[in-house]
Amino acid sequence: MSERPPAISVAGIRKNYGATVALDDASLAVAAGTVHALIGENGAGKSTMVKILSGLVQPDAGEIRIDGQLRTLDSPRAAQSCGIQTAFQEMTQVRDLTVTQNLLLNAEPVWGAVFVRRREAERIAVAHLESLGLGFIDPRAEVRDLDLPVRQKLEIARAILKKPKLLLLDEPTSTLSGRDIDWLGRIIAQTQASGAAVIFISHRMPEVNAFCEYLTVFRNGRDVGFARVGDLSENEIVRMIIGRSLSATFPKREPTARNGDAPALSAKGISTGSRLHKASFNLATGEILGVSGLQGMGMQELFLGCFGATPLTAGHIEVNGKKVVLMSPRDAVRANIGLSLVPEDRKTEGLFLKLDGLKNISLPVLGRFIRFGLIDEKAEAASVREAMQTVQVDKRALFTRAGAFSGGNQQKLAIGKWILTGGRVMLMYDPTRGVDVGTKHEIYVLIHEFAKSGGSVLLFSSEIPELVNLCHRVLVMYKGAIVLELPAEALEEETIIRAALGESVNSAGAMADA
Amino acid sequence: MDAAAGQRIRFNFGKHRGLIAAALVFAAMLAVLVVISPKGLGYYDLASLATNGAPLALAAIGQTIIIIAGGFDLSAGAAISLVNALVATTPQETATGQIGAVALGLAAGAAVGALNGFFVAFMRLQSIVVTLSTMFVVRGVTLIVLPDPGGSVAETLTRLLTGAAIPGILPAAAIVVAGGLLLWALVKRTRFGTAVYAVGSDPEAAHAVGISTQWTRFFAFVLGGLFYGAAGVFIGAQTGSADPLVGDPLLLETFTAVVLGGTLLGGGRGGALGSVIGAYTLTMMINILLALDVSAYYSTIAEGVVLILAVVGASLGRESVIVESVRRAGLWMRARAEGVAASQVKTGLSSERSASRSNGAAASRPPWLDRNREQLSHILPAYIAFVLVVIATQFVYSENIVFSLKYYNSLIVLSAFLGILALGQGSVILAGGLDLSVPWTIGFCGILAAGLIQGSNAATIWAVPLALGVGALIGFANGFGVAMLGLPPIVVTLATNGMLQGAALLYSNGTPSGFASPALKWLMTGALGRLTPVVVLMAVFVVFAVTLLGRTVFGRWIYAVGNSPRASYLSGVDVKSTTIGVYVLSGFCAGLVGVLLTGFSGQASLGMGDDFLLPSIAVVIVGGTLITGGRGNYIGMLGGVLLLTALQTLLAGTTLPHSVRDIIYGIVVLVSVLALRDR
Repeated sequence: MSERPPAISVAGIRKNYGATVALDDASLAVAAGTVHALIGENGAGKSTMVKILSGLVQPDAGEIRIDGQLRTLDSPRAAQSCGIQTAFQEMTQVRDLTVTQNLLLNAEPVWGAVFVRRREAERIAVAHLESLGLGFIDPRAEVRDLDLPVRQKLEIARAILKKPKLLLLDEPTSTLSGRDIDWLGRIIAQTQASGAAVIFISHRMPEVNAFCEYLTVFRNGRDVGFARVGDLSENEIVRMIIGRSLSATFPKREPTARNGDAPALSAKGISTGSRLHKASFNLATGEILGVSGLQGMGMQELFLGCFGATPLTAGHIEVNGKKVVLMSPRDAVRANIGLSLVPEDRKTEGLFLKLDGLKNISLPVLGRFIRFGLIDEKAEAASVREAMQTVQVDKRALFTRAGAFSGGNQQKLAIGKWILTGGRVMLMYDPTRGVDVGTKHEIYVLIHEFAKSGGSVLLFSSEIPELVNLCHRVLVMYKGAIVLELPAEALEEETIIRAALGESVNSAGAMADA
Repeated sequence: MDAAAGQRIRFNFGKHRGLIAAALVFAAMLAVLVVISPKGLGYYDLASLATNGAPLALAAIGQTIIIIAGGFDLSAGAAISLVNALVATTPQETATGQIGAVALGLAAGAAVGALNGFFVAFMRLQSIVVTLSTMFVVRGVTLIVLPDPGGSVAETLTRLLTGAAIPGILPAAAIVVAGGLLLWALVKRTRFGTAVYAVGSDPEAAHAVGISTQWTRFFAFVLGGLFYGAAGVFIGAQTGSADPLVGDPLLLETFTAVVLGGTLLGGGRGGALGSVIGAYTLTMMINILLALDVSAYYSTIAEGVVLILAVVGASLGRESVIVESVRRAGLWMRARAEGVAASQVKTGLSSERSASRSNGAAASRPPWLDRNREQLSHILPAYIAFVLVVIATQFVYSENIVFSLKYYNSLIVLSAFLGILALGQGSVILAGGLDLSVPWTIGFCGILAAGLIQGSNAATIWAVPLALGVGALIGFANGFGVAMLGLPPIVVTLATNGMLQGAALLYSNGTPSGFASPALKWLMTGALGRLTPVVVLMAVFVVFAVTLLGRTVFGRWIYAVGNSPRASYLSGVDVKSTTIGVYVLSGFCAGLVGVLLTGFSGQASLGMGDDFLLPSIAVVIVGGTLITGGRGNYIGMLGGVLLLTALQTLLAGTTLPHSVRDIIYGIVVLVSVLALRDR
């Protein structure tokens, strides 16, 4: 395939997490002295591949060859001794240690094989930081005091310090922007020039085009395409990433009935501390309102603030046109408020993994089944079963613990809970994250039906095509504020992405409330 | 660039905030001591202070290392007692003997640490449950080595460690403590030292960098144990003899010293120097109380209060739970006043649907066995083991046991105490907490009840509800600390336990008076047909417990919170009330046990609750409940209660010493945690 022999090649990698298949016969080969992009949707298996190559996760099947030698990477140490270094997306800088300690963690210069030479360590750290143009970082600062982009650069700096033969960069640009990305480009070029191979994981095409020579596309746990960057058009690559013509899987969009009613939910200039700043929107009855934005831009705070989970520091919300103050989610689920939240992390926020589906789903409305002071379990089971039919979850889930099911069924349980409450406003935070394609489609239909029957949905998705194809309108957030509102006829992926990146948009999409 | 330059010069106050605070408190305490000392502080005073505080200082260094590594060590006190007993029972006429005794002591401390470390690091068990179990195992071993205070430590050692290194200038104890600090300072400069902080702060990150988190944790426990060993040796030298329970009060004190010294519970931050300062601050405080002629009974109260204050102080900040609680209360009051609280607003919405009984849907319910298969697999082991123990009892006693109503009647009477405690402790554990205040809640309520009843049936009518109310109130205080102040359950309940101990001593003035009324005695030892009256009470209690956990909203909320407080909160569960509720329930149950124990033995005694801490946790875990919460039920716990009580009866029929029971309980807990954990 490429001119040079591969520095690393992996073949037939398989990895299951319980019922979820993360990697299914995935292969990848990278030559020394090249920069290789690994791209794909969320959940395509990129991160699992990174973990396997870093020795954090062991594959169920498949082989890894480094310089042609078969290797077992059964621990981070083993991976590092093969010359593999990783800059992780969820950064592995220890908050309570200093910059120097972090850079040289587990590789400190020692005296008499025992004692750390602290001055020498600091000298190495300073020299290294300066060589990378990071001389402004105080080597004695604790990492907890540094902001995210600096931590990300430290993560990269540490990986490079150990002179890797293979450098893995796991979505480094998700926290970097502007000049920092140029910096990254220089660092990648330097590393490449030293003869090392670089694997660059991203889903941003401009950076892939700028930094990389080759690319491999992952989809549903498999490698589905390999090419030299520039040989394929962007459309061809997108098609590889997505795999099929997208719009086919989305239900047909219904026009919303905006019949002059008060909005089902509206936010009036709400703020929560520093992360959400004066956000306003109206969510009409029967509407699916999308929210887009990059990680950490305030979407979470928007959802939690509307749901009463994070106290508002300014502004207020209105339900059916009536101002209301929610002290906690307990207020939000009251019958007269009727809000629901499908939270981001279903394992820790949405579900009770050790409890069966029955207890998971009936929790918010237990009061309904009280007879003579006790829970009437038959009435409870009957109602829950009805809700489970609506979301089409595996029937066995009623009396089996939620933890035993795959991501798709789990997410359906998390949604089913709110079908049972009968609330009219559903706040859904990335509901299709980490679920299989079939379930994704079912969730789309569910959202669609819910809105059709007079419910309203506020939908955040990290997958922009979902927003474009499902929503009546989309709000884009940047640095804690809603910066753009796009009506259905102006929904375009590119416009959304550009607004999410903070570029001022003065095209068809007008600014919010214009 | 300018901002960056500024950053480089800035002294990192945040990093040393705890240490600075500790030093200030220390200085203040020293000033008070100088003021109240009639003749000022001379060398003798300072030397005796240095010597008296040394064991605590050494133990606190050990605890600090373990806490920095992200652990918790409840076995510290027991380990110190063991070392003390071993040192004092080793022959040490010769210098070789003396060196051998010291080496044995240090090795024993490290061995206890290695045992803890093995289960925590390699078996991946929670450090709290491991060290709680080893605490009892080690205590049992200590009581076998030295059943009563005694033994002797060579005078040479006493002179060497508690004398003066430089007469009139430097006490030897100061050298010992400084040596301990130096050792840690050296260890801190190794790769292992950095790894301890890294693992305590962020184990995943440390693992990703290639640090062996397992070995790091293991050696942190070993090193901590070594310091307990040093503390135990020092106490031996100090007292010239040994006491098998000498280390018990040190457990609360080490935690207090560590927290006072600015080390944060949870790992990754802090240092040994602060803990030593904290230890001496605490020692001075106790000296001051003595100098002011305050009863020694106040000392555990003072320690408990200081521990709570220190933890609250350390956690204060804009993000702390306390501040958040206050902020919310204010917000709520304003919303009420304005009429926009969620309960007041009329939106015209009502999502309440009639809870329609779907026709025939109930018929498709899977069979009972299928629905409960998983639960059964966790419950059955306890019951099977119970049956085996009953059969074994038959052989040991060689009389009719298996079909004897008398045996089961007395078994149920004896298991009433644990059966009641199991509901309280079990609910706390199910909700993800732990209640270490059980022993002295039992003791305090029992002593209170006996003191008020004074043998009068009439007084029983109001005294028993009062004692139960006090128990519930104690539980409320625990729950408040955990839910509203956001403090770790172990710290709150450990401090409460210490405070109650002091309160019980104060109330009874050291010797509990009063005795149970005839009615109370009849309940526990009388006859109702062929049964003891309490058996009937237990039957009612079991129904109550099963219903409470299984069929009420509160019960469901307990499970939800134990599974995930965050998910519960986002599902509309009142997490704080639930948390407070389980501790109230636990306090109430412990109070009830205190009252019943008083009725059983006719009177109350100090330490009457001491035998119930580990068993109360053991029965819950043996009954299939996860120690981390969220899974388990009362029927299972009841199996655990029957098993442990039957085991106790069986052991009573053998010639094994009483202390063996502690060892067996400890092992039973460890084995059940290992066998019944979530896979």
